Amino acid sequence: MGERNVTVSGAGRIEGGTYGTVRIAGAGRVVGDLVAEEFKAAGSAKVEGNLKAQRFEAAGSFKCEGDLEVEEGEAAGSLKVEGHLHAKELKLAGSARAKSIRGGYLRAGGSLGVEENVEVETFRLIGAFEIGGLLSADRVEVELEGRARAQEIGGEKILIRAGQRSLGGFLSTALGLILGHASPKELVAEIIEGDEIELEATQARLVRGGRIKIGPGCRIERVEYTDSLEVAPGAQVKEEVKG
Amino acid sequence: MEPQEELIPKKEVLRLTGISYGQLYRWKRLGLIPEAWFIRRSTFTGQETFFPKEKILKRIQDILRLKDEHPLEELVRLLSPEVVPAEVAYPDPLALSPIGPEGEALLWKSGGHSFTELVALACGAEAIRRGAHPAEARLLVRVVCQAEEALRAPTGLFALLGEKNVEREGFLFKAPLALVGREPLILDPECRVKVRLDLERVVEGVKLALGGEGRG
Repeated sequence: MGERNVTVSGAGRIEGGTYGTVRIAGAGRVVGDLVAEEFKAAGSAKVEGNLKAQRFEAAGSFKCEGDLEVEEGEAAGSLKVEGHLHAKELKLAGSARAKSIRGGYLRAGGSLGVEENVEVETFRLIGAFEIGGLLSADRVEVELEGRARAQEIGGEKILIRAGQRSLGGFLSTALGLILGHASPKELVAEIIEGDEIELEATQARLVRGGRIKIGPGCRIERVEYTDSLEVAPGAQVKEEVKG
Repeated sequence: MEPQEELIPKKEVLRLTGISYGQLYRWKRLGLIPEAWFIRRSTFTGQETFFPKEKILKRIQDILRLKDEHPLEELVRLLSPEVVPAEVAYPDPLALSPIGPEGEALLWKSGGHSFTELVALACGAEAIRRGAHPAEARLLVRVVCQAEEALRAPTGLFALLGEKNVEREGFLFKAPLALVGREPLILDPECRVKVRLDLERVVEGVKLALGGEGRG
């Protein structure tokens, strides 16, 4: 199979199709669906269609009007996927939006906005998020540096911590700029279910699972647990049910 | 209309089967438990998730029974009707139990059959087992073959074989009738339904047969 490589530097436009490596430095526009072994963009890139890449890197501003499917990807800056995002392994820094996210490993620092569900194997986030549907992963680990909201969170192990970062250091400064210093560190969810759950600064109607720890700053309407429940001083649990 | 299915709350599913939340969410994520089975209902404590009782309990039993022999990704192909294998070219449809010897009268070609064609043959063979004439069953096979897209999400999808009375110049004919659709299906009173097949079950039967028998 003849592999075509293409590079845009400055400003340019790429026709959809199948490529080996696609590089954009500056401002690039892809017209139509594109499949590539490697897609690298720095500056501003827009894909008017679906993008499928083994390896994906975006720095600056990236927008995909269709679905984005990657094996291994990294994005820094602003990532906007109007369709569904599917990734085996994805690292995000800055702000990212998508209709839904599915995949394996997702690590994010900054803010994440997803209209529908996020369903991955591992979800690690420092920052804030707004998820319209379900957030599900074998392991959900969140360090809150702003407001987070999801309809439902479910998985094996769910750890929510209020960020302890004192402002200072590059990451905190960057997060501060993205999220605003004023926004409170809190998570709001309707239902949280897992075999092992540890929460801080969380408001939920129902928390249900095996071993549950409700930490400082939590306000929970009802906890249903099978194995153990610990409630920290200063946490509010209206109703506890065992079994 | 099919009778209303009995629903079971999520907590009860976990209690009865002994599976964990982690497993339930993982299996949902992989597509082993179809999205359509997660039914949200309001209860006095707020929104709660329910499942069709018979289907979810059977599915979890199947997963627990097969998961030690097959990787989970492979189970998705065997059990989950949503994720139809792209092109299963299966050379000997009659060897699959949902088709069996009754399928012989229905074969229109030799060699490889696609997954949709296997499901169609299984419908036809089942219709024959329930007393349909082979010519009528062939009509059913033809219509199911055209339903490839719909078969990807077969929950609530039915295949019907019936007959319709037709009167022409004083003579009364009975014309066979086959269709695929989702409930509620409303037919005119001159139609009589002879065979009604739940395509979700047929699809699962074919998948299980492919998984088990293909391995020898």
